Amino acid sequence: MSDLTGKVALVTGAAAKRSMGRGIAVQLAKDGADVVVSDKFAVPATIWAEDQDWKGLDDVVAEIRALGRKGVALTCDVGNSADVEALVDWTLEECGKIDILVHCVGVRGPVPVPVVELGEDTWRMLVDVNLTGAFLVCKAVAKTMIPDPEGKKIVLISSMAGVGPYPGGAGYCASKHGLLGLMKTLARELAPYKINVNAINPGGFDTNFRDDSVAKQAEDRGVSVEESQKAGTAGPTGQAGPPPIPLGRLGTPQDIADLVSFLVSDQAKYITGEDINLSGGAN
Amino acid sequence: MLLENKVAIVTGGAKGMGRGICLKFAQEGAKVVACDLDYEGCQSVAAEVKAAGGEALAFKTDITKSADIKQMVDGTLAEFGTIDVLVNCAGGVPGTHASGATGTMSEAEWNRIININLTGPWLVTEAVLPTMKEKKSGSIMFISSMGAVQPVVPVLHYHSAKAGVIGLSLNLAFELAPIGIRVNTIVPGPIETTFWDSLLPAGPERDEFFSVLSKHEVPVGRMGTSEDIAGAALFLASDLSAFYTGQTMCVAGGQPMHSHNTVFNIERYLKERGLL
Repeated sequence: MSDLTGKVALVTGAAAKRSMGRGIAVQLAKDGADVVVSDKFAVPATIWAEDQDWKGLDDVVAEIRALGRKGVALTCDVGNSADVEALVDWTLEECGKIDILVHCVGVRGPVPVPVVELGEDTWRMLVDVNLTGAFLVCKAVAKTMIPDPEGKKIVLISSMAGVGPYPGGAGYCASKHGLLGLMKTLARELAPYKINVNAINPGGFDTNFRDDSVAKQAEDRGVSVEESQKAGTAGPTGQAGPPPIPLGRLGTPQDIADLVSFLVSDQAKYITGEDINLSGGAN
Repeated sequence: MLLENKVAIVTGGAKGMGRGICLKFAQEGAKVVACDLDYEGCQSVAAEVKAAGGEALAFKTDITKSADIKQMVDGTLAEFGTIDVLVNCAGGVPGTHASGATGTMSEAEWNRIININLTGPWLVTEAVLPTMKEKKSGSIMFISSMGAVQPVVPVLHYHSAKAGVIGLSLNLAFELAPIGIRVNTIVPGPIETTFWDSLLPAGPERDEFFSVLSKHEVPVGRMGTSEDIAGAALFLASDLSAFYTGQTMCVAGGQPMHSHNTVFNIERYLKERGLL
């Protein structure tokens, strides 16, 4: 939405073909930024037969470079502080600075699993990745932004489950609520430096994020992955079938990339500490 | 350009946020219709757009009068052929210095302010909807106020109308989403515009007030500008927000809606200085 030439963006959670992170990374490159992409695995597992040839981070980097921008990639487990420090150090070495952080890493695990059946390990994993991971990444990146803060931007990807209940997804829901608390506090702490910090709450998106649930529900129903996908995954209501979306379609990675493009642009300088629902009208 | 060939009506387009939105939209390729009670102001905005190579119309429109609205909408369709975007920016508490606290206003004054800030935007929206419904697309936005959800000074009529605008916007979004019309509301924080004129005239006292307000109440430490609001309006008007509807977008420099840790009492500040 504005010219990001000369800016460096770090996008986490960007390896999957159907990911928001990939869509966002490519959009920021289109806007003119050099982009560092990261994910836990260079080539993520997929349940989709047609995605088997996808080379993950390497393919995303190729897309960024095809736009004439610098594109580099490094794997990083955001739940591990040493990994996070290494990612930030390496980004500074490669690109000299970080102007924009878009933290897309997130896991939901298979849903629906009610609280009374939810394993402690699963709960801890969800909080570790979604909340502690965001804390570690924000902490490491914000430190590098503060010495030369003007115009720097942080965007966290939360969820509509960050602002409402999610029966069958308690660990995910709680970690995303926590993520918004982190965002609001970080926005206050960084406002004096003129660093904008905001979050997006996507709801009803067609991405790889639903793979675990599609696979689980295929198994539960004894049908193929393709059939399970057609039937739709359980939405926030716990009911099978696609969630009712007033705009009548699922969101796409481009939808969220467009909102990120706005939030990191000069058009959004006075917006900070906000969490913005992006859900096709389904609140 | 994000709004190439789109036709955008901006009520309250003569000054302040409305003017900023007109100019921003024109820069992005929109054909702009500025309407306002202040006709000269609209003409000045239209002239500025045209001087930069854009297309613009100016109308003298009282948004509380259906006949005025019809003339503006008909004129827009005659000249530009369609309507893609409506920004309901006209509003305010014009022509009064009343605080708007209990016991200070007549029923007529209540009705007047509700008319300007809630009924007017509804009338304008109804007037553009036949065109948008026919083409099954459009983006409509309203401008609410932080005072509607987090008042720091009681202005019953104005803030009630601005809260009503959020309800109107949500209901319109719900009704119109299936046919491709998006409806959203911007909630501005403290913005430095001519809106403040009726409360506190421009001058050193206002400058000091803004400075204290920003320091205590706005995390980013400055007042917002028309440009800040225009940026958000541009996003909402453009296809960048194709999946975004039924939302209230806060543009407030970090002031959260529904904050419980307000430390700065604007009313006390104004009263202590004999300004309220």
